[in-house]
Amino acid sequence: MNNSKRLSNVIEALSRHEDESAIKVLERLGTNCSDDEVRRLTAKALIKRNSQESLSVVITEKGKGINDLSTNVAMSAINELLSLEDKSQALAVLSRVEGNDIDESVKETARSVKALMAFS
Amino acid sequence: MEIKSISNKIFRAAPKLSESNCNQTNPFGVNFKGNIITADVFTKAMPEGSKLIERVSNRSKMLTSAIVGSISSMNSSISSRLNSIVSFGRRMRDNVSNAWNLANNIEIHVNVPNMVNSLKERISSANAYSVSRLSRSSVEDLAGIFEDELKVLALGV
Repeated sequence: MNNSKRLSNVIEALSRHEDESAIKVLERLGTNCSDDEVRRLTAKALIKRNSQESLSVVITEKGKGINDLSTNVAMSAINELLSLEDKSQALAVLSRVEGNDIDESVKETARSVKALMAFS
Repeated sequence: MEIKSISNKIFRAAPKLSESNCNQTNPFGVNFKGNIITADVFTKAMPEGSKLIERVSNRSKMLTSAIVGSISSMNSSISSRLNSIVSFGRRMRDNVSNAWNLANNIEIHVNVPNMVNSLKERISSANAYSVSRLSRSSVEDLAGIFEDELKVLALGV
């Protein structure tokens, strides 16, 4: 099994893990990695987990998830959010972004994604 | 004997083909490959006053020579086809026997215990990193594995 396959499996296993501390591991090691593919897989794993804590990482943090500097990673995260079956948690986090004292670019991205979710 | 006469006798020039064929003419320059019916078609059809019996017998002669000619050509074509089939069959038989002899002479050595062991190692190493196996590990263990794999990725191994 090659390195990329093993990484993908580890991230997937952390995404499914019952322990909430798995989110911290994904944020610490995955979203801060210099490799685009690792960040893309981590964002996808956090969104699939579909909890308030995991979605906050990809929606409200600058340079992570939908705010990633790589367009590929950001678009992949947005796609994953739009394909969620249960969007209630994601909408709650997106609505919370507008009211908070957060970077304006992050707020703008959250507004766009919320609008897209309303149409999907 | 003189040398000239000897050389004339030994090195006799071959007669020219056109001279030897001067009896046959081919005014149209066409080579006919079909049946040749031996009948002189350039004579007047039938002399006047010839009897009906003579006319019928001439015509029947033409017909029978045509039939005999076609049967003989059919025979030769059938036999040539059969020959090609027979030669094909012989080639196939020779190929099969050669392949069989070659196969009989090949020896294959299989080390079954080594093969089984290497297969077991491959399966177990693949299983160790399967999602189901990893999901049973603790978050700390997964974090350790994650860090190790990121180091391998950074090294480009």
